[in-house]
Amino acid sequence: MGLGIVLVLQTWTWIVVAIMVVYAIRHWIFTLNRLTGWQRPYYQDLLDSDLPPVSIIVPMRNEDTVAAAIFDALVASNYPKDLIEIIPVDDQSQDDTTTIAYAYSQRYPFIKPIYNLQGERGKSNALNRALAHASNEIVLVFDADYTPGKDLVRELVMAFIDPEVGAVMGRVVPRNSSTSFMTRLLALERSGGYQVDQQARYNLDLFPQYGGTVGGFRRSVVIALGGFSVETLAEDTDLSARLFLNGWRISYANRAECYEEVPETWDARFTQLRRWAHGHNRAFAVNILPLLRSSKLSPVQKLDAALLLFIYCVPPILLSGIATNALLFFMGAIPFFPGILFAFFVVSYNAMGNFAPVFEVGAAEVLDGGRERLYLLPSLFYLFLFNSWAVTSGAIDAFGDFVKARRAQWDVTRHARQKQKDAASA
Amino acid sequence: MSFRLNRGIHHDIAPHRSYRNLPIGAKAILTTIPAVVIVELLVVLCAQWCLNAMSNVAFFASRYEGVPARPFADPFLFVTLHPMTFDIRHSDWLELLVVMLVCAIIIVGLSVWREIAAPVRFFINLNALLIGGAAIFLFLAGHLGYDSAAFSQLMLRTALLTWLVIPVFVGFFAVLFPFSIMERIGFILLTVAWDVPLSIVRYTCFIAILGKTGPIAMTDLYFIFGPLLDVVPVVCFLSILLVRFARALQSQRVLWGSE
Repeated sequence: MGLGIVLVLQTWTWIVVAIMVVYAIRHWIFTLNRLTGWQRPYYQDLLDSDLPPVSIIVPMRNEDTVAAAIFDALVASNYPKDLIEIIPVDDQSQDDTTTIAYAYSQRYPFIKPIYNLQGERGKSNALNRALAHASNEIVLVFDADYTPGKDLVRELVMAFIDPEVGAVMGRVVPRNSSTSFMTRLLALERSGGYQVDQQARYNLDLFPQYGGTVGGFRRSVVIALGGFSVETLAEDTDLSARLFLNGWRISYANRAECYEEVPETWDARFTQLRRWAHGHNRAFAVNILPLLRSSKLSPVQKLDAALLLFIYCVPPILLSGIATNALLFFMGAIPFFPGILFAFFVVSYNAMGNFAPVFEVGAAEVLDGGRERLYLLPSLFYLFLFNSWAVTSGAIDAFGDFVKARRAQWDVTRHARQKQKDAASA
Repeated sequence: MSFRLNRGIHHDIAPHRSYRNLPIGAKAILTTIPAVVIVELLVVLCAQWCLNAMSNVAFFASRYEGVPARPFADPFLFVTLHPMTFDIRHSDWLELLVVMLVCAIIIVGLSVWREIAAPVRFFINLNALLIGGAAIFLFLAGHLGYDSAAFSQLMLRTALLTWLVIPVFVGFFAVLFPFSIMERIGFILLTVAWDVPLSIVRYTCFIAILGKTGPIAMTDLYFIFGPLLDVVPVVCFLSILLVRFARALQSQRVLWGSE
């Protein structure tokens, strides 16, 4: 009995280490490709004067502190205004978001807000409502706390020149990275994830991901796919998977940078990560088998899609590995080759603990022209347990919802300006 | 460092950061592999001496601390280790109950009291879980799977394997960047060279701590301050080298366009 338990635990340790090694190799290949390989040009390098009309959806819930900023940024876009319609979706806001959206719609006729006063809430519902109202084939989505630059709409739209492209994704850059130690670390993570990870996947024709904001898609395609799934909290990952299953490509525009406000408190970040993990794991459960069976994807694309969808399962596995090894230690049965434990920690810390391993983040920062920021690389260890537990918590939630057939509750990330406003009013 | 080649879309126009990449070719691999081999050879040559130093320092320190210790020979791979049996203080059931209670209070307390940054809270909780878990296991089973000799043997074997693994691991980092051959060898060598005194000090401290506190802390020491701690300096050295490298890149105006 005791020997059997030890054998099971040791086998699990080997499996955990194997998973970590696979991810470490994957990220190492991505980094090598991004640093040294041929960079697939994006479509913005093509000259084209025939711009298509575009609908821009801005899902909003209690966004009165940021609403005016994103409207101003979109109005200032250099995309021809007669080709734009902006659709803010007010998702039962209880603050002044409705008033602000209405005021802007009075000043600018191309801003056409819609109001969800009593239907089901959540981003997927808001997007589905907006899709029904959108009058253009090309649709972009921006979350309300993002600040698109003047060229961004044009840069993103250019991808749809290619008839094979079903969706496009731009690069997210934190604008409040210098606010605190935490935001600096999050900026490092983002840098690795976009500058290296997404670009390498785009270079290698793998599985670049549509991220739900600073991106766009073809309206007819999404409608044909049944719209956005209201069952998941990661409608972006779910859509990415469904697009791939149906033979569409997702283009990544590394140069199309958009500024966002990363969470400034640990609680806000925990909620955000937990929501992502919940939604991502749901998307994994729903899409993994169809993706693996798909005849439209190459074996390498299937492998990358599986690894990407599985990524939010890794932190729980990692924590289970720590627990397993602790038990083995209590029983005096750490696997004979003690180096395995070292490898386990090394690889987990460097490959998956922070979503982008340190060498990937370092490479991204070098490419971005960062210097002193690179001194913060060892500090990523600071996030290791936090990320692991937040993601595990989301995975447990997802499992609970799945077992009890509950619908997940959408919880918007509260950004700093909302908190400042709350504090001021208090 | 030489950066002749700008691999952006046009060789005469400084690329936007989204198009930048670095001139790394076969040279990086061809210089990294010998660098790793050289350092591995050095590790093999010096391992016995370093491991003896580890055992001797810990032995003398334990004697100085009044912890009776008895070394024994343990052939392992290409060296002979000298782990030791040392006296670990016995923890009675009352002490174990107190430890369990304190750990539970810490975990619950930090879940409720959120004034400390979340990562710090989680780190403290992980330590409390490992110590509390060891106390529960000791309470139920009477002893941990590792006695002093086995723990000492585990630490020495782990140290040797860590020194052997580090050069390969760091080599994978180093091959990604266009460092010079000296920087490559320096980076790989420095991480191992740093790890030797770290291993000696850590092993000595562990034996002194276990001699005073009993086996409750053994799991926590090995998991949190064991191999995990070896990785942190590797990343520190990488970050220092990358800052140096990034500064050099910034001065290459053609490459980065910082006219």
